[in-house]
Amino acid sequence: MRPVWSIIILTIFASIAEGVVIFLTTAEITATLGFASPLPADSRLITAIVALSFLLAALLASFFNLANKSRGIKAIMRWKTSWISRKVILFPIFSAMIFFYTVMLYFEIGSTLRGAIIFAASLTGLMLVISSAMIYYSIKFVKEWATLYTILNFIAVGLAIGSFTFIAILEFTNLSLIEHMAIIDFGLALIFIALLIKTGSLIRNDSIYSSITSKSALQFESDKIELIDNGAAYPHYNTVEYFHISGKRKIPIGRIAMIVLTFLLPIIGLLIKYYFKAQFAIEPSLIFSILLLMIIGGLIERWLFFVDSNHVQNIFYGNYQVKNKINPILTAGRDYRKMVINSK
Amino acid sequence: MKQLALAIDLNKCVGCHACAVNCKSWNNSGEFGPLHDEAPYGKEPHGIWLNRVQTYEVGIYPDVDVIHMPKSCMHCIDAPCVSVCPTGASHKRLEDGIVLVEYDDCIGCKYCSWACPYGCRELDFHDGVMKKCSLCVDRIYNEELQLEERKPACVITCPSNARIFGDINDPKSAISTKIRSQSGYQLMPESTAKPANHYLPKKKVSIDLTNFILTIDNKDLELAK
Repeated sequence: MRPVWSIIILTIFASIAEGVVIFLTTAEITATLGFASPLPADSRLITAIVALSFLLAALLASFFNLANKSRGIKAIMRWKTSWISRKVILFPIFSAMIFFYTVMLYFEIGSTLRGAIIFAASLTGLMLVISSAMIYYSIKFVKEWATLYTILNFIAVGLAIGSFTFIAILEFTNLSLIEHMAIIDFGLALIFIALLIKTGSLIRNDSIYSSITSKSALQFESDKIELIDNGAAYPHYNTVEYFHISGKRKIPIGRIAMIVLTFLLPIIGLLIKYYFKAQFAIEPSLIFSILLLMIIGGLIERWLFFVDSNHVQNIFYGNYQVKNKINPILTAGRDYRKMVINSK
Repeated sequence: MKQLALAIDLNKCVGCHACAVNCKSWNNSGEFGPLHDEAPYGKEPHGIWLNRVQTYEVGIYPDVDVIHMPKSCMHCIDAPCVSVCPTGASHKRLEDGIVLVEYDDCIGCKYCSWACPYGCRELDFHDGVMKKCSLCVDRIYNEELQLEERKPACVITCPSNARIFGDINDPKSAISTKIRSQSGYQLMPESTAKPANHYLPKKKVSIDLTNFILTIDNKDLELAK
């Protein structure tokens, strides 16, 4: 599938905002219950503002996805059947809750109500991330997407980057994190779990078995089916939208960059700063640099999510990739790709 | 329930693209507005075509066949594009089973095209809406046209009469009879979308060429000398 930058930014930023809010909620609840010392008000305020900023950027990006932006509000009409509708409804509710929490925190009013709002916001945010993932999960014609890994991955990557963002904000507000090591432990565990889920997803997608072949789809009586003419005005929407040749070539390097930037670098950074207490890692700039690289890694992760997927409609246009050797040979896909690559 | 659809006879289709061209022609000037093109006379023309004819080479030499396969919206009975639409712009008509897009409600999010397993929807970037075959709904019910002309533009124009239009749920209709008698099939039945359009399978035709090979006898050779 062709990666859409507006959707990449929308999904990853909304997930990060949710991750940050989950951490903020956990800090609020543990402080209220007396399990941990409360965080300073300015740390919480900046965290809420950062979450709002991510949501605002995601909202702006979402408009670029629509070919008809002025009618965007109509997207809430089919909430009973469409996951996009549900996402469009949940997004402003989540944003409004964070906004009210920020205002109440700023004016220091209604601590109980404030706690209730941020708790409800974290649940709404979780539903928003799940709705985002369900948009892709429910497309059963893209086998790489129609898996539980899609939902787990959306939640886990958001939590992983969100946790690191939270730690970076606490660093920014000069909070001594040595007294709050539970946050570091929790963050490390989440990044590690996200890495495991991502690895599982990559292994699963590389060994995927597609029962649909050109022979079964077109029902011609031969294993060798070759597309020799693609019809009028080629390339067109369906060949461009569902097949991204230049992106497919960058998958191996993209995967390495994604694993290193999104998962390994933050894990190593947290270990050397807070566990091994290396001298060169004292400066907060290290954490900010890693956070920036981690967000770039998150964007690469979502880019790969699109590029690595393979829609079955590509069978008709000679672009379907057969990943499993058990399948009959699909010469159409191979030969046609060669032809297109050569012509470039 | 009535379900209008097309059946395409792959034995008769000669790949002339007349159906695609007439579809483009009618829908450019019909009630659904223009199908926009980019550089239509340029080196790399791009444009919206609601019906595309693809040609496949099937088999290994010498047992090889060339099959022309026109493909447009299948008007699926369980259309996956309808349920995912966030605005309700994509809808399936109860009265005749045609799947249509209400352009005034479409926001151009492309989600319906992702849900379509056949790749039969195209986004018009100029209008910002998704476009697809409407089975010429503005023709087939048009009382200003003669009765025999109330058919989709592609059916009217097909020179080899390869396209049959009608109600597949009416067992006495011409399309149902053809589908039954010629083992009509649906594309990608695994999709579970139950496409309404059918294809009549190409039959194997073998011609004994030995009767057509020219032989040269000795007399002709002597004359040639």
